[in-house]
Amino acid sequence: MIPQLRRYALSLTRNPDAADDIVQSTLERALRKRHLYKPGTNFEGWMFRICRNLWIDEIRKKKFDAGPMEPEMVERMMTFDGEKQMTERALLANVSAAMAKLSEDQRSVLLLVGVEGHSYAEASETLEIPVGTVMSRLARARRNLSQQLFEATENRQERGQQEDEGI
Amino acid sequence: MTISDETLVSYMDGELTPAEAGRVESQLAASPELLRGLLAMLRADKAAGTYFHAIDDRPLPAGIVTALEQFPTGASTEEAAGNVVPLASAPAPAQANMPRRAAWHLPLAASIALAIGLGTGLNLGVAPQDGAGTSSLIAASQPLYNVLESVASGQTVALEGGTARYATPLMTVAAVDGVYCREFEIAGPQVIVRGAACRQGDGNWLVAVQTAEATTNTDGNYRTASEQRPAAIAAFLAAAAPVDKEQEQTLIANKWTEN
Repeated sequence: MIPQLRRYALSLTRNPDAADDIVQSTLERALRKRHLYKPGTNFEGWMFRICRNLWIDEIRKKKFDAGPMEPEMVERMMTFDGEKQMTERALLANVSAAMAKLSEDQRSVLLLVGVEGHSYAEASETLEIPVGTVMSRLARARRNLSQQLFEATENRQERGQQEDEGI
Repeated sequence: MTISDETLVSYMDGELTPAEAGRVESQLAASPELLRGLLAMLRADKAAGTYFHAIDDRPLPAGIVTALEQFPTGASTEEAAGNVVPLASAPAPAQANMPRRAAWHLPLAASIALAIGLGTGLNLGVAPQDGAGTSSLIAASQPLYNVLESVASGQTVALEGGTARYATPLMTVAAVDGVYCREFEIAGPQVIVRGAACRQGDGNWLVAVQTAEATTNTDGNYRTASEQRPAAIAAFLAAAAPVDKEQEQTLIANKWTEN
């Protein structure tokens, strides 16, 4: 549960420190409000909604400026060492930059379906959005990410200026 | 008939009926462009998995541990009776999970299409730039063929041909459904080409991704593979599982078939 929650928080914040902060707040609020949880319902969804609401509050208060996640942030994401680090650093830096061009809604759907392996129905329930919306966000997220990662090989440096499309 | 991205992702995720999936598959078989799109999205998922799972490896902050300890761990408090929050268990030790769904739960026909796809179009549009003869298809007659086919990763051999060029397979990975791919480097006097090639069903190797950069040394010495892997190759390799030395030896001995 905690690993899932951390990854979900990361999909909202794109910033690992902010993600852990919000995970902590989520746990604290869930504890205070645990009488509101209905046994037998989707607990993960309940936690995710708390998390998301907290994040929306944060943004509203502008406590955290969701700027692009940049190299030093990638460094902070990277806690592995040695060979794995060599292998993944370039990829992670690249993906982090690409993720910044997705909306948080797209990232969340991509995480739940594309990474966690949830069905559209499960993601729809967890995120409280229609199945059709899961599908369309997923299509945009994957198309956008794959274009950024795999289609601009020659003009990598220009990618920073590319406009976000259709979001 | 065109296939929308919505249909394509639904196909990827196993959300279509068999009849709908069949229609997508016949389109995939007919359209390398569509197949390339599907492959790119599958790899995007893999890349996203690496990104999201990177937070798994970070130590859990003390604040989270403390908050977790406050949670009722069973029906012990009367308040929580019948209302136990199913969180209880201590956090699992951080581990470097790779995404668990991976693409490879696709219907069989799709897997076949993917294997074909590696042979039809997965070229990232980087043209060979050094005249090293690395056109995307590496047939048995080409110098690079023997290197990919039978040289162990980490070993460097001189490529046959005019100028001094040295080829090194760097690592072997198992890609979609038993397709093996090898990262390689070719170092020449002017240019270092780095890429990944996948072995096709017909025995040829196909270069799936390739980058080139100028050689820094001017004395003809080649640089070693310790440099950072180009992002395009890293992204490509992220969608595959590394093959260890021993397994690689067996594969070479068996000419890249499983048995």
